[in-house]
Amino acid sequence: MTLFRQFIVRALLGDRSRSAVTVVGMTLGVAVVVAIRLANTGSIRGFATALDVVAGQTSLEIVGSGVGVPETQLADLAWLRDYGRVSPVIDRTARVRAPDGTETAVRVLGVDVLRDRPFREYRLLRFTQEGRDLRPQEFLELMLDTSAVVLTEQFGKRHGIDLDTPVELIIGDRVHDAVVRGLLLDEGPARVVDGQLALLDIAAAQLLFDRLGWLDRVELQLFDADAVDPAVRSTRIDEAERAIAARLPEGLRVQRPAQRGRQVEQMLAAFHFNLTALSYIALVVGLFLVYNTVAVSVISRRSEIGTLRALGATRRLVRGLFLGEAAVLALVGAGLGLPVGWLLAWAAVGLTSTTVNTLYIATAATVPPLGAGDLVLACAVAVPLALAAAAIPANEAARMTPVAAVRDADRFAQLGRLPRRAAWLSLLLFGSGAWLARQDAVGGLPIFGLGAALAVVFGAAALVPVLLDLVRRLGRVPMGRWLRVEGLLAHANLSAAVSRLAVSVAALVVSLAMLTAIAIMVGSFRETVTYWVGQTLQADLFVATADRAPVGPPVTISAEAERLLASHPDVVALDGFRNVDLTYGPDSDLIILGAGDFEVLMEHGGLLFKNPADGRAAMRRAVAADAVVVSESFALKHDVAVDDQIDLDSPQGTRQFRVTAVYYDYSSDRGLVVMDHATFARYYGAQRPSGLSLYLEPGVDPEVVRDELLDVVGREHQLFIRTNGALRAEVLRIFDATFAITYALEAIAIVVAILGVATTLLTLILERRQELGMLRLVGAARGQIRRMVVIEAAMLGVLSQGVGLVVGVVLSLILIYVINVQSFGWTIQYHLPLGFLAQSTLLIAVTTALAGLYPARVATRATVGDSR
Amino acid sequence: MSTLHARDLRKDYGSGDSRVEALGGVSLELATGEFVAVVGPSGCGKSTLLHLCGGMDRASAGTVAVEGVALADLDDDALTRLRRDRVGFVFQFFNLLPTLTLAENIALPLLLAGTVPADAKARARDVAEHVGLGHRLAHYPAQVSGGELQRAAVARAVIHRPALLIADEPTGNLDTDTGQHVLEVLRALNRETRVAVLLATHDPIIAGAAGRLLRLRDGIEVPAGDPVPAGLGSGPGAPSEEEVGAGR
Amino acid sequence: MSARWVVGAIALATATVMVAQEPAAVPSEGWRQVEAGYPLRFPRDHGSHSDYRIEWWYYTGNLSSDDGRRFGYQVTFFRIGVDPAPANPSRWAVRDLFMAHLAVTDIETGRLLTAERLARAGVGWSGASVGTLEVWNGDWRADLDGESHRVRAIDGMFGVDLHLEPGKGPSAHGRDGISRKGSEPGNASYYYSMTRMPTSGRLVVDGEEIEVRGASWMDHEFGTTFLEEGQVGWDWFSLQLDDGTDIMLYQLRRDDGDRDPNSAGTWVEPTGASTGLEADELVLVPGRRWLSPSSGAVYPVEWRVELPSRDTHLDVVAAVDAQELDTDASTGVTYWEGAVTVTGQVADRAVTGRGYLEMTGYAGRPMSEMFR
Repeated sequence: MTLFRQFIVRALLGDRSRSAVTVVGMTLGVAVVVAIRLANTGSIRGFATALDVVAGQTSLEIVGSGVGVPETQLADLAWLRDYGRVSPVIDRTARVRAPDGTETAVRVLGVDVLRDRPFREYRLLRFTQEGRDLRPQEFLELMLDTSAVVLTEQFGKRHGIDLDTPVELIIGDRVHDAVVRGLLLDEGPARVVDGQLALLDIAAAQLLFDRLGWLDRVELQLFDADAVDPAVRSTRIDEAERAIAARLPEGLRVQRPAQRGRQVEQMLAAFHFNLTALSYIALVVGLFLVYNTVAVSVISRRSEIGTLRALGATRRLVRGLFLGEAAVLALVGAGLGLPVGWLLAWAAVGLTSTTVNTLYIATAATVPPLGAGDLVLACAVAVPLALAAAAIPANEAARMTPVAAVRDADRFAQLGRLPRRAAWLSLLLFGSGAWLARQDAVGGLPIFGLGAALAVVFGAAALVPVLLDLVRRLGRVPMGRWLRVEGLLAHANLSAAVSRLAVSVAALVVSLAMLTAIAIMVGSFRETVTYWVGQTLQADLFVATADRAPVGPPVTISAEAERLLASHPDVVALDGFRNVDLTYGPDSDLIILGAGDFEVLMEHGGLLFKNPADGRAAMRRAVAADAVVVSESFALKHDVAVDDQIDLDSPQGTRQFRVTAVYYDYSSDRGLVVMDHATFARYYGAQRPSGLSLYLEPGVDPEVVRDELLDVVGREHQLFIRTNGALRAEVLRIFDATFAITYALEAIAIVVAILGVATTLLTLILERRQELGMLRLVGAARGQIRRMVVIEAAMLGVLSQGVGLVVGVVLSLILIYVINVQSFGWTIQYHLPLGFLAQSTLLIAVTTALAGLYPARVATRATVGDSR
Repeated sequence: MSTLHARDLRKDYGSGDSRVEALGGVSLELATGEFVAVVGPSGCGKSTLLHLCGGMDRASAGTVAVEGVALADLDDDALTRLRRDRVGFVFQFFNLLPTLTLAENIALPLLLAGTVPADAKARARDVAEHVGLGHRLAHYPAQVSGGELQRAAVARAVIHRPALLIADEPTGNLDTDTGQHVLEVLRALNRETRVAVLLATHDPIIAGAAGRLLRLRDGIEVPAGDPVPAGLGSGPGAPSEEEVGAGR
Repeated sequence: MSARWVVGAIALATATVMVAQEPAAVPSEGWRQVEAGYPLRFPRDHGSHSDYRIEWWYYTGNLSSDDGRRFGYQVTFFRIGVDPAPANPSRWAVRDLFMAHLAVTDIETGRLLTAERLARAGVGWSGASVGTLEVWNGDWRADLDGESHRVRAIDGMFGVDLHLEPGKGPSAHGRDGISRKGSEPGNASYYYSMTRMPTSGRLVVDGEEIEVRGASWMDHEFGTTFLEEGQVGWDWFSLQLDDGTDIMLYQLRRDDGDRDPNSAGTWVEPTGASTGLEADELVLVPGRRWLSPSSGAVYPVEWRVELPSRDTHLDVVAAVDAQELDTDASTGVTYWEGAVTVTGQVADRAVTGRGYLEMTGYAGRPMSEMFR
């Protein structure tokens, strides 16, 4: 231990710049991994917490197929009371416009307080004259009026709302005048999402949300579910669940409330998985730095190692010393990475919230606090990986004989068989990458696909010494010619340090290859989406409500609003899109069941078909039949082809539908099944649409019509009417927001990698002081030295980017054709974003050159006195 | 005008109690084409004197002028230019860049001075022929012998036709025959190009080749009649304390 | 009359709260007032009268098991109108609220078990049918089996499941079944009782089923507005004497301590023939008092009943003192309702009997406040 402190710790402290950069690299790597993990759990947790708080004491819930539970069926479920208390629930979202002018989305629970109180702890911030709590009946009578709404104390305080304050409740497009009849104390469900909860009487909720005759679910609190022992409780719930499932009529299911959380988790799994995978790139780059640092310390301290060995240090001890160095770096990195990661997580949540909210669930994601578990995880990830990375140089140190070390063997003679071995390794990795890329997804996650990407990445890393060797052999003449003496010297210096540079360059190559691949994938995806949007967004105007509900009951457009819109003389056709969530398949995946007017779609276009080519004919066959068209991601994920029959749950039980076509869709990776609205109405009942497409008379200005329509619907309806162009722009805005985090993660990895290159150069320069002094002696000016180092750095950057571009293209193929298909099920048309790649190449060259400035400054400090 | 004029040169290292005087007031003058050897035991101040004369380091006191230009008046860039154009250096360790060929190593001063590469190459070839390395031009330092390395270093030192050649133990790392050979080369160059040579050595045979001797001990000049300084007889190739110290 | 007032009072009271907020809402608006000229007929009038705002079905009785354990029980179903014609077409819109009280007195151990329910009709999980006896609140229900009544109310570990034969059949109170509660013409209710219903079935106590027999008393009363200002509470008796006579008595107490003139009773002969008792025909003298530890209210648990016109002197004693109900989760009124034993003389003949006693207005807010 003393030896470790003297030999390793002091050296680390002595060589501050390199230690610092390594720690920074490790810190960033761990931080990014932690940040993404926190952000991922944060987005789920926001939802899960809300779920828990709202579920309260609910043991089980009865849910329907997509459209909810029909009341008529509920009347026959009186036997549920034998199991426990029963509470019907309407669970929706709406907006509250407070007197302070703010509009806030709130969760709306429509309940029968008489039944519901045992389920959820809530008390009113309101007492009778005698100072006692309101009795259930009094509570109920406060809410009986359809204009009555109960908000939360927290919300009230924030928006200056008190008892009897008038507010506006915006449900779908309709603006309702309401009066706050009660404020809930800050406990139980009132704590959901910053108190953004509104309580309505269930009757009022049904009326306002257009749900007469329907319930969103029926909750059940088992009589004997209050056992103290959670295992007993769980067993009882399981038994009840089985018994109830056996008795429920077709079209209804019983589940635990947490099931909804699991479905959402499942839905987000692919998105989160890919983010997590991406976050590990930064860590991998950080590990390259650890490798590099340990390798440098082994090489630069050969004679010291030799001395130690000569004095009787065992191989074990030497190996242990250097592994210890790696462990120290990793531990410090992990320790610093946690808080940094926590901070980064906020940024990550900010970057991912648009995506999650738009595409998956509306949730106020927060960053969970750091726990001891996170520290353990960070260390458990960082330390073993760092040890693995350091194993190679540490072994090399351990193998050193005392003589070889003391002899101070030629620093430059280490190349040896390295390029050849690296070439074989690289070939092997590329080969296995090719094999892995052909394997299927595992449980909806592209495990092998990522394995393939990883193999290619490491293959590229292994290729770096080969390429550096090639540059060494072939680069001299052109460099001397183009960059004069500085180029010649830079080349000479790099050639002398191939084995030393290989690792840091490899790290940079890996990052750049990923950047290139991601840029290509995103670019291709964007092109594809742009084309798809152009093909499918055919209507002139699109009508939507202010609220979005990516999961859960849709926010709908009222009949009055639809009638008012249709009455405009320039509106030729109007198509309403209805959608509900449905569970599908053995894993109960959440899919989207949509319904539109196929006649209108056929006439005005709107879907881009993958199979069969004649989509219109396929759609025609689906009209007035038990038939559907499905999105590509649905077809891929559930292995469904044209003419297959699929089973869909409906309020009438499970029904078979024939698939007549598969179409391209990029709006959701959950998989869409679309049927004609008449078919939908037959099985799922009448439901208001959640969006409308308006087709206008040719020649009229959509902007003008839009403004007129907004006037027509007036203040009572709050609608978003977007022109075709505006919606396209919106789609691309959401698209870009989705990939912002991708670039952010990648940028961090590149920063770390460039830091790595800079430190490596710095190390080399410190070792070359003598040469530099000699150069100064024979007449090299400071400027020339600086230019030489900057050229070295830029050369490494350009080389890395060159390799990165090539490998990136290969990786992008894996991303697009393997990982994407396995995770999301999208067809992406390959497209090279040449402009972006050119820009990034220039940027990398400039950035690495800039990163060379500091080592260059150090280099110019070498004096002729150093020459001896 | 003399090629090198040094008067009362002093050099101290450190400060206060730990101050060490390396050179205690040495004066020296070299005319064009003159060959002067500085001799003395390890630590006598030979190298320090050479460094000050070659503009590698600045004196604590006293003046140095190369071809009438006082080095103290020059800033770093001007000093660099002066070294690059008017001074050549040869050291005990050959200090060639391992990844450049001998030709490139020899041409380096010209290349750094901005000479067209083709011209520099041609001149390097001439100089290399001159020192007997014509057949080794394309070789890397690792591929040639020590004597050849030092001849290449000498070639590099004179390729730009300097007025002054500073040689610090140029044969210290070579066996006797090879050292002799390198010395021949130096002498020939001295004769043919009229370059003034200031050479430090503790080998009496090498010193004997010089036109004039400057004996140093403990940083000051020792009159000619004094006994030969101890250590002069130490064998070729044996590293002096000073050299080991420089490696730190 | 009776317990059921409690509910009326509450309905009115909360309505009053609402009135304070929205002056337009008058609780009686849209509901029918009690007027003369509606003859009660059965089984039709066992059913619900949804035009009227307030209605209850009320079963009490004294039962014993084969091994001699004695029990009292009470099962009450209330229907309180909230809005005769809700604008909201939702099934969950509240036209009526349905409440129910269940109490079982284990006389030997002196224990009172109680449960209560409050629900809206919703998808028909609570309700009351029109035209026949069928009233239910969740799985508690009372309905007809031929002419017999079935009363079933089990709450987990205790409850009743009883079969009640009609016995003497219904006896209408007041004039033609209209029982006056106040001086205003509308402040009255339709009111009849089935005063002696031979009862058999089972009780559930602590999860144990006990076969029981005995006699029950059923009240059914409906109307729209009942009470008036100044009426604080009441004392109500249903007594079944061993000579076959049944007596219903009530007195309204005023806030000035006087008895309200709208107090009355009914004398039911063993044959079923009944005669009304006017306020001046009944003297009710409170005796020993019991302090409720939970509410702090003091109830007279022994009464001296004098009916001079009938030459009747009865001592009514609570079978168990602690028979107070706290119905915070439904009606919100704390009252005393329990089994009593009777001893005394009718025209010099010694009689004994059983019965039920209800006393309101002793705890919590003065009833008078709840009327405003």
